[in-house]
Amino acid sequence: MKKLAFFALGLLCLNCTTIQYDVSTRLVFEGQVNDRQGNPISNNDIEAWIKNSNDIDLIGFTTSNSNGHFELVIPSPKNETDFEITVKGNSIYRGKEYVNIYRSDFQDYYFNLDEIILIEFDDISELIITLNQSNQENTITNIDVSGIIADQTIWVNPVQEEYPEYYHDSYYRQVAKNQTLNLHYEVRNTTGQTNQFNEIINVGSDDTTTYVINY
Amino acid sequence: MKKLLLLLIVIPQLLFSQENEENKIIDTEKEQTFFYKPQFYFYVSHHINSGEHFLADGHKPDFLGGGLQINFMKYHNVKFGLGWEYHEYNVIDKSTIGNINSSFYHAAYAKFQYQWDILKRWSVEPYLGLGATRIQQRYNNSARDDFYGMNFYAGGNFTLKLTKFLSVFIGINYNSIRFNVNTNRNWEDYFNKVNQVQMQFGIIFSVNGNKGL
Repeated sequence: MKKLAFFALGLLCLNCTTIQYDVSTRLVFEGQVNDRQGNPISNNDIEAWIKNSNDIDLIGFTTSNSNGHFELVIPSPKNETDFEITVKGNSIYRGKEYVNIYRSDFQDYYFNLDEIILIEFDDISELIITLNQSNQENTITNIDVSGIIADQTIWVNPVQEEYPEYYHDSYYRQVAKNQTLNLHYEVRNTTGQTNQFNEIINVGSDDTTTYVINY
Repeated sequence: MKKLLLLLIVIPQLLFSQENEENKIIDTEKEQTFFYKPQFYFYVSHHINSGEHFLADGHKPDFLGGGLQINFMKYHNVKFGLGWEYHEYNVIDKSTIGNINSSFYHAAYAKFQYQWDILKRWSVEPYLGLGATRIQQRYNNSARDDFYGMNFYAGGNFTLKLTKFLSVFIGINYNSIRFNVNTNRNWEDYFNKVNQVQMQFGIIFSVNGNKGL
């Protein structure tokens, strides 16, 4: 009897963690995989993952066609809304992950990833921004860098945080070489006053690019 | 004159006696018109899918499935029956179907068949039918979910009566299914409009016995 009870409990627990799908609803992802010059990357693996607090499940996969284009159709998860699309890299290109995709991001059961630029490993520069606090009353927040970014993880929806993100000492990103980046950040002082700044960072052909913000 | 009188007496008797026999036959057929002893069809089936839809593109059917049909009503040569059929499909394209292990085709249907006896032992049975189809998909080995559609059948059987109670048949039919899958408009036809050809081979057990044997 005890064995039977444990078996039933085990089955129940398995059912708790397994992600359930509604196969009568199909969601579509579409995207275009290119290199930095806009050339299509063919035969590149793309995977769709579903996450909940207990489990993660690979629910669909495909490869880009000869034009670098892909469409991936998956059954809709019944309860979970956290989708991830992994664009696998290879020995030449660094892959990318699109995380925090929600069910509400789909329109007409469709989510477009647009152009996905994969950067060659040899074409990546480590951007190190040193945060030099020259005034003790100031704090720096909301740093954002736009340009050709080589980071692996793309947050489709930002993580909801109760308080603004503060930084200490330094800020890191992986970016493509030989480009101009736009840097945006905010500086707050103790009185609550906030000033916004936009600056330009020139990235050369070095493996490491350094920049200093004095605030 | 005597001969004529004899003829006048005997002929009506003969005529009436013939009419009574015919009436008996007609009455018997009438008794059997709506409720007749059933026919059981047991068959294996083969599905041929073509075109751009999820069964043709994303799946490969097992070579054989199976089915059962029971005809239990008959009016003259038109028979009415209910049936159920089953076929297993393996997923071959996970980019359109998802990471699903396998799909199972179930259909319950009603068919009107016309029995046309072309020879003593041979008959042809054209038919029309309507049914409900369920596609059950299994993933993560044990979990499952399903979606539904309505289907329309048009086809025919070619039947050979082997004994008084047993026949064999081969059949072919067109099966048009309309599913109800919610998806992006570009993919609606892919998931919701299925056309296929089904071939069957099986036996028929007639409780009432085969006509003419």
